[in-house]
Amino acid sequence: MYKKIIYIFTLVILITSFSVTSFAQGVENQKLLNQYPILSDKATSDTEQFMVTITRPEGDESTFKKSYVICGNSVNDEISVMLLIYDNDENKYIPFANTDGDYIWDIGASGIFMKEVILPNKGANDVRIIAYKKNETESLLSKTNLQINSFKVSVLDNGIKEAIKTGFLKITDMLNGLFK
Amino acid sequence: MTSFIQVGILWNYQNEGLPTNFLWNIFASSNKKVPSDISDYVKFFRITATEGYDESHFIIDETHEHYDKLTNEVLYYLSNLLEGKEILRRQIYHEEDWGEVVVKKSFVFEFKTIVNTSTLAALLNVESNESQEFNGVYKVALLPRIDSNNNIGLYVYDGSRTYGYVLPFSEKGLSREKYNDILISLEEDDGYSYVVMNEWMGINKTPYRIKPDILIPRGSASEDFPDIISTVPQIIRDIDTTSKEDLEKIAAKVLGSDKERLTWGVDLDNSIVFRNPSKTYKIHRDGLMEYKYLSQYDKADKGSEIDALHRAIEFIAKVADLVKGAEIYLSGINSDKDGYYTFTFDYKVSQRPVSFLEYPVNTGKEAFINNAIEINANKKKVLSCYWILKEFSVGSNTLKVRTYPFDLLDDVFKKYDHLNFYNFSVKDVITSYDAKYSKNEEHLKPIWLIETMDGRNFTVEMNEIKGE
Repeated sequence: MYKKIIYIFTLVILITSFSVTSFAQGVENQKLLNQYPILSDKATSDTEQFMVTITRPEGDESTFKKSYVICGNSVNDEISVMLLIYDNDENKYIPFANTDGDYIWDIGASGIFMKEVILPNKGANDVRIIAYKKNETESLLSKTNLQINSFKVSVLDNGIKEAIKTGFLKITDMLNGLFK
Repeated sequence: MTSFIQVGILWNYQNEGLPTNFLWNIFASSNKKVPSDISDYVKFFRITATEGYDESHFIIDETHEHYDKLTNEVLYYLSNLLEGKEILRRQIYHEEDWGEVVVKKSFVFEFKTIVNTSTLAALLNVESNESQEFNGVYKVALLPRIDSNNNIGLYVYDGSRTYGYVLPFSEKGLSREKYNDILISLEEDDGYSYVVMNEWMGINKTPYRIKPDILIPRGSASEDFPDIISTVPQIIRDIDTTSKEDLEKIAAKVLGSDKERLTWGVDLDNSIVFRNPSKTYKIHRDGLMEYKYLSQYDKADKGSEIDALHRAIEFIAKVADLVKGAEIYLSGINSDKDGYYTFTFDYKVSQRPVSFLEYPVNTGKEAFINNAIEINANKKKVLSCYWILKEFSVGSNTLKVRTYPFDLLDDVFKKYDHLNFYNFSVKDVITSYDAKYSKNEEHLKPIWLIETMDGRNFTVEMNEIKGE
C-alpha cells in the first residue's frame, strides 16, 4: 500500500515538474515575442541568411500537400530557430508549431534541422523563420545576432496536379530547363 | 614420363590435396564445378520509382508484381547501351546531376556496389563496347518521359559522374503509358514512401557532403517490421564433436568434394577444423566459417573482376544451402588489392538487409568483419573467406517501429560524439536488421544504418512502438 502511495506521489511530482518546466519555457518564449515586436511585425524586413541557411522553402514555394517539411542548417553553435505564421485576424505573425508541438527548437549537433508542419491554409501560407543566438536573447539585434526570413508557401489544389500530370512537360522541367 | 607424373603429383598436392587424386582431377575437373549463376548473387539492391519533384518515392521490392518486368526492362536497355546499340543521344554530367535525375519521373535501379562493365556484360551475356564512357555501374535510372518522341532516357551513375543516354522505347517492352500506370498504381497503393533528402536539404548546401540521392522516410511515420530470428545453422548447432559421423556430415556439407582429402579435428576453442597442407576450414560455434588457402599464390593470377567473382560465387554456391531463410547479394567489390579481389556479400531477409557490423573474427588477422561474407579471390581460386553462416526465420510478432527520420542525424552525432562537420558524410541511409555475435537464437532489431563516403558505418536504434 505504502509502495503504491509513494509511486503515485512520485509520478505526480514528476508530471508537475515537467509541466512547470514546459510552462516556464512557454512563458520564456512568449516573453521573447513580446520583448521583440519586430519578430511578429509584418513590416519587418528580411535579413540575409547569415546564421542559418534555409533550404526549404528556398523562396516562395508551392506544394500539393498540407504536410510540409521546413529544413535548414547552420555551422554555428548555440542557434535557436523560431517558426511563425502570419495571422490575418491579428495582423501579425504568431507562433506556428511543428508536428512535435514546438515552434522554437535548437539546431542540434548535426547542424541540420528538418521539421514537419501542417500548413493550415489552402492557398498562401506566410511563414517566417527566425534564427538567433540562444545565449544572447537579452540583446537581439537584426542582422547581428538575429536572422529573419519570410516565405510564402502555397498549398495548390490537387486538380492542378492532375492537369500537370496529363500535360507533357512538368513545371519543374520547364523551369529548370534541364537535360536539353 | 615418370618425372612428369611426379611433378604432377607434387603440384596437385600443393594445390588440391592428396596426390593420389591428381590424375582423376585432370579428367574430372570439368565436373567439379558447382552450378552457380552470377545473376543469383549480383542483384539490384533497391528499385524505386517516383512521379517527380516533390512527389513520393516508392520502393519496388521483389514481391512486387512489376519487379520482374521492370528488371527485364532496365537490363534490356543496359544491354543495348553496353553494346552501343540504338543510342540516339548521349551526354556526360557531373555527379550532382544524378540528384536531378532521381527527382524526375523515374525508375531507379541500384546495386549496392559499383559493378564493373565487363562483369555487367557477362551478367547480361553481351559483348561490352570498348569505347564505353563509364567503367562501372552503381545506379541506373529509366526516365520514361525524356522527350516528345517515342524515346526513353537511361541514366547511369558510376559513383562519381552521371551519364545520360536517349534510346528508343523497346517495341516488346513497357510503353510510356505502362510506366505511367505503374506509377499510378504505386500511388494508389498508398504504401510507405520516401523522399530524396537533397530535395529538402539542397545540393551542396549542407555542412558536410550528403550524396545526392539519399532516401529517407517521407514524414513522421511508423513501419511494420517482421520479427526476424537468427540462429546458428542446425548442423553446426547440434554437432557432437566426439562423433565421427557428425564431423563427416558437416564435412560433406561444407567441403563437398574436398572432404575426402582433408583431416579434421576440434580446436581448443571448440571450433571444428578441417585441413590439408594447402587449405584450412575452421567452423566456429557462432556459425563463423573461416577458409584459408595456405600455399603461395601467384599475384599475376589476379585476372579480371568477372573471373575472380566467378570463383567467389562457385565457393559460395557450394555452401549456400547451409544459410536458410535469406538471400545472398553482392554488397562490395574492392579491386585495389595486389594479386586478388575482395568481394563482400550480405543477407537480405524479408526484403530487408541484415547488417553484421564489427563482427569479431578472433582467430584471423583482422579483428572484425562488417559483412556476412568476405572473400578474397583471384581468377583461379578463392584465397580466403570469412562467412557468418546463419539460419533466419520469421517470428509470429510484428514490430511496429517509429521511422521518424528528422532527428536521425542529430542522433548519430549524439551517439558518436567524435563526429564533426569535417569527418562526417552520408553515402547512404538504410533501414536494416542488426545481427550481433551470438551462439544462440537472436531476435534481430531494426536499425538505421548510415554509411559514410569513406566506408564507415554508424547505427542508430529504431524505437519500437509498444501497445498498438
